[in-house]
Amino acid sequence: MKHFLRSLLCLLAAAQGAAAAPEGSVVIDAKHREFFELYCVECHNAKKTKGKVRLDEEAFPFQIDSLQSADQWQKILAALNAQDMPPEDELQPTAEEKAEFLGMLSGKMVEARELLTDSGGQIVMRRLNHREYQNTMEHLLGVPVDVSTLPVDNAGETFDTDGGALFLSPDQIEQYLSVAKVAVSDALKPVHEEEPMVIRSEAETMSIDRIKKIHADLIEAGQRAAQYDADPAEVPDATKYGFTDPRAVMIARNRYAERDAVFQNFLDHPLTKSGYLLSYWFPQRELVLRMQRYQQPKSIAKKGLADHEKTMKKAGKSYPKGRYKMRARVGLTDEAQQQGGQYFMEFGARRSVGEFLRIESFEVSAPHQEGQIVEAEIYVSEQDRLFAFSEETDKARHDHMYRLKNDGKGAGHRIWIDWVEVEGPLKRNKSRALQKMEKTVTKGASKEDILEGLRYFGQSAYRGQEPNSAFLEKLYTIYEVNRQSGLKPLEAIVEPMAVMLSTPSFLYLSEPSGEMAEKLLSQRELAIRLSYLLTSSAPDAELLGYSEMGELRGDQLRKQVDRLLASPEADRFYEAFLYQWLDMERLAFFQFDVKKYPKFNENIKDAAAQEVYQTVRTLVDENIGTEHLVKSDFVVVNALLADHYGLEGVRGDHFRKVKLPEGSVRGGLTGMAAILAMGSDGIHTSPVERGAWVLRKVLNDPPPPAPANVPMLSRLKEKKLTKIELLKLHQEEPQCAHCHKKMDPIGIGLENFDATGKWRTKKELNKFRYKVKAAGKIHRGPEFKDYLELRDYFSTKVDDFNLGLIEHLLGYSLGRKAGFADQELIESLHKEMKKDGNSLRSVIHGIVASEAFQTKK
Amino acid sequence: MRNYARRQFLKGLGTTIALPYLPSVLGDVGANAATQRMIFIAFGWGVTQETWLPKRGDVGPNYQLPEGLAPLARHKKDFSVIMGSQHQFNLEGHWGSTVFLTGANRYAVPGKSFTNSVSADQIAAQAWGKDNRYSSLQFDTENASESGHGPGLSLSWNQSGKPMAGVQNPFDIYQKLFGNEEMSVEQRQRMIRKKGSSLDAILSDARQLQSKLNVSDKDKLDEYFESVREIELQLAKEEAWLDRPKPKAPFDTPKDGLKGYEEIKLTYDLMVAALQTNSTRVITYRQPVESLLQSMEVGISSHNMSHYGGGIRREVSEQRDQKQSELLSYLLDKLKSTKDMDGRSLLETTTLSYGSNILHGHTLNNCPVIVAGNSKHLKLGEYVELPSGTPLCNLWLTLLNANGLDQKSFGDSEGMIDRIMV
Repeated sequence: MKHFLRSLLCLLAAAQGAAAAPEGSVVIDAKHREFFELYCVECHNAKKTKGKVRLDEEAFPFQIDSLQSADQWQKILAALNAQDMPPEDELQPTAEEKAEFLGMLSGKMVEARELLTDSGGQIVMRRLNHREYQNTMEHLLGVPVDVSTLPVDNAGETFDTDGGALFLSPDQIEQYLSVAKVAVSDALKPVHEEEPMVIRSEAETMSIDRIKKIHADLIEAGQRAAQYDADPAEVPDATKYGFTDPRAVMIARNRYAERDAVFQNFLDHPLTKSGYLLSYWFPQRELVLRMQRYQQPKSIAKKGLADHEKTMKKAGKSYPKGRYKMRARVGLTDEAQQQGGQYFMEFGARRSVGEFLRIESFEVSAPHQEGQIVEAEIYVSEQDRLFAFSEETDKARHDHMYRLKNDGKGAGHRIWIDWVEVEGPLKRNKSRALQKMEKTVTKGASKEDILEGLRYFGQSAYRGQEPNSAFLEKLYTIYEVNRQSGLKPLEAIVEPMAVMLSTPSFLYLSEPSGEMAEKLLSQRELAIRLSYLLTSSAPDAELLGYSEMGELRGDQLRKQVDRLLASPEADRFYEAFLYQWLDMERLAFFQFDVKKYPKFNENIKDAAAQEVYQTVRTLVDENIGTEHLVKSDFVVVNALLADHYGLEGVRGDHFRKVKLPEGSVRGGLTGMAAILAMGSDGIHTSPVERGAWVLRKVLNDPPPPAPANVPMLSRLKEKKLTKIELLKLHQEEPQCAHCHKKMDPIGIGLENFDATGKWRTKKELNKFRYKVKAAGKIHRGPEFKDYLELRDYFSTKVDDFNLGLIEHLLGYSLGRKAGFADQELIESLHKEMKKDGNSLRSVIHGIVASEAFQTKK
Repeated sequence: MRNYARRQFLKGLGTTIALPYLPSVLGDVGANAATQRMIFIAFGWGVTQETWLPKRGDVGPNYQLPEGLAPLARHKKDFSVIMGSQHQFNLEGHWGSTVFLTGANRYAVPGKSFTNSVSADQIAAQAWGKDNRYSSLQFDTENASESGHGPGLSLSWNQSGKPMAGVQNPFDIYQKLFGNEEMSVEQRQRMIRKKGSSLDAILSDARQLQSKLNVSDKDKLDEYFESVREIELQLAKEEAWLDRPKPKAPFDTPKDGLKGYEEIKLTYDLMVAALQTNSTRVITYRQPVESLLQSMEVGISSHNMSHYGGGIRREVSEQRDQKQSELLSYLLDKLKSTKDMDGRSLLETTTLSYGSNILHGHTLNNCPVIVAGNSKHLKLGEYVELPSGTPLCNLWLTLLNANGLDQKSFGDSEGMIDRIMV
């Protein structure tokens, strides 16, 4: 983009201030006429117009300035890529000539598309995206909101803050209505005034009876199978032994043989007398925490209930919906202590069998004799009533790897749970608007009171904007109808409030500007933009307060930016921006091969993504320069990732700065597991993906999109080629060469990282092991002998990296793609940034203070 | 789940029995003799060119069925393979479905990086929809872009080119079509009225806001108004249908959470059920490829497969063709054996189109398409090679007209494909 911007700027000085799409054109250098004259014009000229196409100088201008000319050039590009032109029997360009021309033209096409799609700085009113909707609802109502029923945002190629790309599908309003109804009625439920209950269950009570029962059944069936086997008849009658058919006998026999020792081992273990042991496989993978509903007091004679279940069941009480704290005392078994190494456990929610939604993971490091407490907050909703602890969640792993270990006794046990405790529901704060609404309706109020309650709530929902009175009247009518149909006041008000939360005034960040081509944002609008930028939610009272006093400017504005950046909610900003900018959705695309990478599970994938977010946050929090994203002497990791990277002495689940030893390959984005894993398909590395990613994100020199309709290299169909050989072929075909010669060497330079980002010196192909060769040469750049030298090359390009970062952050902040008119702003932001030691904080301040951010266009 | 998949599979694909015409199955308004239906299915990443396409030049009714279509052998006379078409404007190698039914140029509007236009199915829905509970149904899958479908919420785009949301889970489709309505008619009536007054209130806020916005924001808010209108139409329909209960389901509530092969199969069952009960006459489906591969346990991603070259990727690509053709064959079996209210086989009255904008990899200039059904108007059982560069919209135009929808042009169409018409 940067090249495009530079070339455009000269051309487009005249277009300054134009509100609609900019005028101007992308010019193709006249020196390429020669290529045309040699290979095209002979058939496409004034006299001979094959295919009714003329490409001679007179008829075909060398510039792209309209959709028509873009389409014409696109067709030329396509014909060359598809090898349709020049026809086989005509003079052909050399591979080199063709590659050069294609490289030039695909670059020009990207520029032209940028130009023709430039919105001229217009910011389209945006609907709250999913994240913002969810946060805003929780901010307002104080209860979590389930948005899984809403259609996806589908922002696609731009950020999800781009209003132009956020559509509304036909039944979406209905979905908003129903989501809001549930949320409002949850919010209006009385807050529990009494202290939250705390119920502890000894872990040995939670599952042991069930396990004993399963074991007993296993033995019993095994015995019957043995009797069947001892039956002298040639084909004994299976039903005589309580089996449906011989197949059932086989199953019982095998199960007994396979599992009896595993169960026995578990039951004999001294620690199951005083707690529970997590397993990879049988007897039970998970320790389940049930938070059921009971309508009536029930007898508790049935065995196998945990203490907390007994308490609730006896009382016939349900756990009310709400937030809870879950605590457990855990420790390492003697075996694990002897073995050494690091151990992790997970805690998550289960909706159905086999489904496990991880909430938190913990490193367990204390010996069981001492014990450690782990704690997580959970939200108990209508659907989520089952929670579970496990050592690992990936089912496939256990079956394949741990079944037959240890003389048939299974993989043993590493983590012991002493007790589990549930505390809750935790008190929640109700917003003033909500309290006022409750107060108004419960006391059986007059119409005026109800209207006032709705108005007050509406103003809070609409981020300071007054709802209009005709609208409020209509809401009141709905309330009245509900009342007449027999609903209680507090029930009758749910619908009017839900309607309010489904109107455009709530769902869109509107900045009305009427007839004006552009206007300065009001203080309130500025507060809203700022708050959605840094917290993905509505402004809080403090921010709104300053905006009401008209003080959101100068130092106070800077103070507010710093305050929001320091808040935990700023995590949402880092996650949303970086996830989208760095194309991190790829991380979730692939299931990593369990056999090849047994430790690279969902848990570590999450940690790897967190590393990216937390690293950038650390740079901003501590005001460290962004060059550390290219090359750094520290990483920001937790124990899990440190283990993955082979860094010693890092314990615990929190992310922190860790100094790297001299010459470490870690430090910088290209050494991060998340980035490297994205450049793989879960089994093998993909040097092309990695190379393209580095060009896009680190060097800010994105390759044009992969061309359509390039013929496949058919002569290779039956051949088995190594990756390097394949890459070489790319470079020999001119259609591919002009980009691949840039991407591939970089990808190869990263080959010392395996698909999960672990360092390797050898790699495997078709059962052979090769030494990794990562040396290469940057296209039109220096040679490098290994990754470290390649990274040194990257670190000479920090300015380019920063320009890319600024351009995208600006796009995210403004809710539109940064266009040609922003070039000046980007350059001045960069200048300031450099002056402040490559400070990203400085860029954020600069964007917020910019005219573009404070103007509605 | 694996066991379930096995069991369903073992039951056999080609052995469905003709469902008798039972009035109890049919709840919605009657169809008449002219009733036509359309199904559009898209499968993202394309096919294996070498083994899915009939031999070049082997055109006409006696073409040799290629290996990738082998599972369709028993239906050879019931469908045509149509090659050679393209969408001239689509150059996005990962957009197998975004403009598949529209043919739009994403750059058509200056200053915007993406616009789309109405999809062919919506032309039919517009014309026929008033007589059915649902004017059209959009079936979809989770993470459709991983399956090569490109941007969009389903295969359908409304009259103003905005994406229409699809139902991503066949279990939810079942609920939508046949779900229990526990409320009485009076309760439902009250509910409809309440929804009506909610919309009324919403509009009052929307209009007030609209009056203060600039031109482009007004334009954006139009989406909101469109959405409200859509719901109003739906409510009006619900009201008209009030005394007509939802049709009885032709089969029991399916299992929730099916993925891949079983997910597609169940969705096909539901397509047939929706047409059979006349709940709708127009259906689109973005079929999963990624989860299909996962259910086949082949260990590579569907995108990777689509750039097959040689080796394992090629093998997987061919296996995928087998599975997809097997499933399509299953769908044709069902359509054939299921009768509509007039006792005619659904295949006779339904035009089924099945294809992708992508041939394989990033190849977009030769879309693989199969057309089946509606034999009264369409010449089937042939391999058809269109002149290279024929707009795919010519086919959509032809199919619309073959369904009595009098259209002069559609998208970038240049004319009808007369040779596939009877």
